[in-house]
Amino acid sequence: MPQRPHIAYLIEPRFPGGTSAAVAAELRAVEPLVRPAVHDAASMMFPDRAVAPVLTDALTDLALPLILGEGPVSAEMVVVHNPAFLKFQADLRRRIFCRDLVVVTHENFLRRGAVEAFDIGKCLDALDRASLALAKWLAPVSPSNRATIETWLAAEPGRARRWRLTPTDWFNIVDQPRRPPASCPRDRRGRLSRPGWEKFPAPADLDLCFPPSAEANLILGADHLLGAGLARPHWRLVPFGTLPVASFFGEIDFLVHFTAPGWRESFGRVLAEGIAAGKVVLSDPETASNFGGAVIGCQPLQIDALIGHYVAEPAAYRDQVLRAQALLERYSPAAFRQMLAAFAAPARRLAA
Amino acid sequence: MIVIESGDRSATAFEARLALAGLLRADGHDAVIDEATLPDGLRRHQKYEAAALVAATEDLAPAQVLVLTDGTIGQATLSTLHDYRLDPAVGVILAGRFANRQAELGIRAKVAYATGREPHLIDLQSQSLTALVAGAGCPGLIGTAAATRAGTARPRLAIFLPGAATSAPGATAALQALDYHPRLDLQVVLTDGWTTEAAALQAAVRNVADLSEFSPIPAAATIDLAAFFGDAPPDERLQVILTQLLGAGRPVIDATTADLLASGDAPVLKGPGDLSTLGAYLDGTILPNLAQIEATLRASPWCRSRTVARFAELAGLPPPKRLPTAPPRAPRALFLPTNGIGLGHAQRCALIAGEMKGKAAFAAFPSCLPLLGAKGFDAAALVQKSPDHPEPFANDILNHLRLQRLLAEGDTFVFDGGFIFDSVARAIREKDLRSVWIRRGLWQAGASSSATFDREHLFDRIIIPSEAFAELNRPPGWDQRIRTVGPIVRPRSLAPAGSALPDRLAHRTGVAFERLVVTMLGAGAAADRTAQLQFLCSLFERRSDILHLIIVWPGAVVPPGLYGWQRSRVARTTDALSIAREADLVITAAGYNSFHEMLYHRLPAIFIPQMAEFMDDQARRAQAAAERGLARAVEATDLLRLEREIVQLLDMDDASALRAALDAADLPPTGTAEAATLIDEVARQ
Repeated sequence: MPQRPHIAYLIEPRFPGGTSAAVAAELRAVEPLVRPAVHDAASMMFPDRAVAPVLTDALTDLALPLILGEGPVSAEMVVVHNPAFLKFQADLRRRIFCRDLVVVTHENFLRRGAVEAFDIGKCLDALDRASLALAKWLAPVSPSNRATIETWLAAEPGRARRWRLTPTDWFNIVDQPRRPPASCPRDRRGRLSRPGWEKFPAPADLDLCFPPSAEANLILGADHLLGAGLARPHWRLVPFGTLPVASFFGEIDFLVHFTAPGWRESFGRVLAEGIAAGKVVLSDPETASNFGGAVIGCQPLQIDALIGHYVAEPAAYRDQVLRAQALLERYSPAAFRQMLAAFAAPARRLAA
Repeated sequence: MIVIESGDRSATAFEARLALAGLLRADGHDAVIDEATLPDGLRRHQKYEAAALVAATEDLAPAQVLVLTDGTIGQATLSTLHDYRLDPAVGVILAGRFANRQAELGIRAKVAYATGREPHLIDLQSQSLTALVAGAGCPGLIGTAAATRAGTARPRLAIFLPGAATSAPGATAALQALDYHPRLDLQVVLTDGWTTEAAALQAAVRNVADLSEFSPIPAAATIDLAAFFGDAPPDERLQVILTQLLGAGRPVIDATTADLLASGDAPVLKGPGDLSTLGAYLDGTILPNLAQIEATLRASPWCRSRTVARFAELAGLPPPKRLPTAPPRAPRALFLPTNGIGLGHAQRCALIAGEMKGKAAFAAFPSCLPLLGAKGFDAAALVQKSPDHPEPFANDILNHLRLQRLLAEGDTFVFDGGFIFDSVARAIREKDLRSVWIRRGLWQAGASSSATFDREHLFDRIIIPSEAFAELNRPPGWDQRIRTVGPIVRPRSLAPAGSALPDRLAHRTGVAFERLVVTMLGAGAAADRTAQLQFLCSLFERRSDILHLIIVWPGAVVPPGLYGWQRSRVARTTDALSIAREADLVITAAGYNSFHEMLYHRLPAIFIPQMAEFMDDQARRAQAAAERGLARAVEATDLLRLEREIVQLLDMDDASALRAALDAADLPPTGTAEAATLIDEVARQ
């Protein structure tokens, strides 16, 4: 008889971006503690897409099988990452039996103006109906993500009775190797994201982020800008996935990351990667607040002055990068394991 | 300015966008469509209807952007919205049907990301703004335009049906019976174009048209009750028409076997599915109860919830402003002469307009403007067809817009020409104008006239200027609208003798002469007469007593070789008759005006007919005069005979004999005044 796993993951492994990367890092982080079972929740969100390579690699490295089919998922703790994969279907199409059901909310529940980002109630209700659990948890990935969930739950008293917020954030693990900062930074700017209107600011702000005065402006993931003919002679637009991330970071000294005003990163994994790569990272104040000073919060109008300062003061540049990298330790695999252990203990008590 | 967008760039979505923009515009909202967002492969009617609604991208000054969606939105639309770089004050409205909450949230988020602002959402389903039949993209809105139709003693019944329905047993007979119904004015509208079956219907029913010939909103304002047949749901445009009718309190009868209209919640009447029983149903059920039906429809929640005003309020549109229109003016008759070959139509219209009691003005092609201006008429310029245009009817789209602006309620539209342009048909239909068609009576044998007569039903009166000779006129028909009048020709008394002209010509040309020969063979548009003109020039070059004037219209293209002769001169004028009256001989084509001017002004003439497929029968006309000894007729290729006739007329006194015969000829009275009276009558109706 195989030993019953302590933790089971029910994931949609076809998310192309941050969700799959976060899950892969998490599997690698928890595997020394517990050997998880990983179930494929193949959904109608990605009917024709292959499993994300980052997850395939992690599962192969850890020799973990991806369990297919619609059989029940049972464990002491079942972790479901990003419930948004259920937004295009009525039901989960399988049963969950566990003591703690943890739903990691990789997407903000609300957009600016308190508008629902997706049909959250439908997704959570599908999980609720499908699961028999002593406790059902919503686990935010960051403080700003937590705030949107709290606001949403406050307006949903019925669902708030069934779902509880985890006491600590279920953060993304950042374990990229730390690179040293450039000794003589130049005004070489870049941004990296999957393509999509939500990932990019208004055209006027994009112009401020990447002006002709910069030595280089590298935009990776610019598929929709290329498609719409929205190019500038001083921009280098590169489609998503056509330039290795390491090469991208090798060509810039400043990561400038702004999004559409109606959308915010729930965690900002790419910002953490930029810090790890030894870059000064600038973003909007709301996103920057998740990183406690590791990311410089500013407005697009202020970017030229900030970059000018760091180019003129290499020591300040170095200090900012090193300070930020030190702050990244809170997202390390060890920190995650610590969080998980702390969470599991009171959860058991609560269940008892 | 409200920019109307749609979730995708399909032809269907464009129809919906066109319909919504038209509805808003008709109710005074400044709705436009960005020209950069037009889909490829627009159909002809879409181009006409879009012309008034499309704005150049650089001219856009949006106060709002309204996106119509069926629950999806494409990258092309998102790119456009993103690229507008809208001012923060500009509102974005998302109006559509959403399959579920996720569909609504998803599209809402996409628009928010692309525009940088949260769109204002109108769920057409929950707001009871859906179309008559589910699936249409345009909201089922009711504007105010259709309600302006005044009551009529003979309501207009529009039967919408596919061509196949006309071939059902008894269908033609049933439609024919309705065509002669004493209390109804029938309009048959084909919903799937001119199929073979539908084309056959034309011989039996007078008023048949294709749906694409109607702009939906103006069309609805001309219909009093409608019946819908067929197996397919009505398209976007027809839904707009039917919805406007319901809103205006006019019955819409669902005669489909599948209850395509009646199965929804719209207040349509379920009628018989067989055309042969429609007449009895109308007589027994509908016509006696029109007032009650109207009251019921106007009070129905379905209609009351679907007003454009309510939609505008939900969308937060600013109060409508009536678009700038021409200041109020007295009704007038607007003449549109086709330029044709030469300026014959314009000249004829000018003569008639000069005799009218009511006010007359013109819309005319550039070649006609000097002539009309010289006669003291206001004339607005139309756009001439050109091979440089992107498509053959591009000029007519512009003319359509100009006619829409030039014509107003109460006006009478007078068209003089052979081919009825789309712009002309649309002007009459969309403005519901009183209209008169002045057309030729003399057709070439075997010439197909079906294309011409397809639109004859549009006109309230048809005036046919007769030919001087009886055998050239067709016998009168049964149609009371057709009136034949005497030849329309400039009266002899109005042309004062120009005794000083020869001296002036001698002075201006530097050519001393005793006799004047005038040649009027056209500008080569219908037939190339360069060889004949060169032949005549060479002939007269040998004669020291002749001044040979080649008269052409201003702007006509003249072969350069004609300028090298000593005794021949090219004269450009809009008043050829004044010069011809002084001539000892006129060599001319046999077009209607020239021909009758020769006869009625007693001018000795040699006719060289011009024949082209689209023209009248000049050969028969010339032959009729020659047989009566009132002129000579020569084939264009018979140059030896032409020389012989010229010698006889100039040197053997045959010209005097011709004048004497003309003086003695018994020509019918002219019809100019009668034509003017007939138009005045129509204008007063």
